[in-house]
Amino acid sequence: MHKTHNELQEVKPGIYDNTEIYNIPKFIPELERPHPSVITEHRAEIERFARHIHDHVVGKLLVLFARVLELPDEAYFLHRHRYDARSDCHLRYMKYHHRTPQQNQALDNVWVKGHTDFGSLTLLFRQPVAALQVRGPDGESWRWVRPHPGSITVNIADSLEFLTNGFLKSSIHRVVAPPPDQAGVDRLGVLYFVRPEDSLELRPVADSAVLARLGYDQTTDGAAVGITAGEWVKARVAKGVAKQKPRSEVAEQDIIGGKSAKYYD
Amino acid sequence: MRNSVDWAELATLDLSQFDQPGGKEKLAKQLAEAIEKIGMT
Repeated sequence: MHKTHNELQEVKPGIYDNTEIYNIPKFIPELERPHPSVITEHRAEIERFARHIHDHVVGKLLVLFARVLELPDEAYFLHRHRYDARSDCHLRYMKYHHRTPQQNQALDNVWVKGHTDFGSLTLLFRQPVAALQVRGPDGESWRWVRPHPGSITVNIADSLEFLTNGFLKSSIHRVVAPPPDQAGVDRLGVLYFVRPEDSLELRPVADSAVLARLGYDQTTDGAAVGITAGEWVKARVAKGVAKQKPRSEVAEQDIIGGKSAKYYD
Repeated sequence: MRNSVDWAELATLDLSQFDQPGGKEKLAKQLAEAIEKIGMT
């Protein structure tokens, strides 16, 4: 799915959506679909990049998380995020067009309201433009996420929080207008959304010495048991991401199975 | 909006260490400490 600059939605009266996005699912037979020629002409390179990131970056991170949890099998998460299995992992190519000072003021400088992502991990490949913020440890303030040269910005998302019963916390983040010295710049980004295999049940992992030790091994919320990764992603996509809802401290949406998604100012 | 920015405190992992002897252990320890200390990632 994609949207171009010509298909803008009105975010607030007179203020239009300023992002162009194009999503590319995994290059596996079940998920084959037509793409515009600019994609098909570069398909080999894009696929090579996508598989490399999945196997050599995401794969390593998933092993590290399994080790952090002291799971008996360090490949536990790896085997539930196989590239060739059906999942909603996808690349997203993005362009945020810059806004005028007047538009930014009308939006309180917030382009995408605070939220968590649906899957396991989100990888962000970015230009050195400051626009991403995460919630501070105090649970109230917002801090900028620094774009280090040659680095990938990674955040933990909902599914890993479900799988670890809250030990790993889904990162609350938002997109704001860049600081004044970068305010005139269009920002390009590539994201890789990592989701577990569709069939994986989002229940806390068993056999984690760390979860047991810290008391995270009891399922506190029975409603989450039995929802698969595929169902969670579908349900959250159906509800959409709240871009510019009326101002409220925390807005909450019921998603599925007693779990809800929150949006943060 | 300020020109001096408040940067978030986040963990930086050098994944090139992963395949080196003891690399996985070292990175996992670094990640575990970040999770504990920062409280969020």
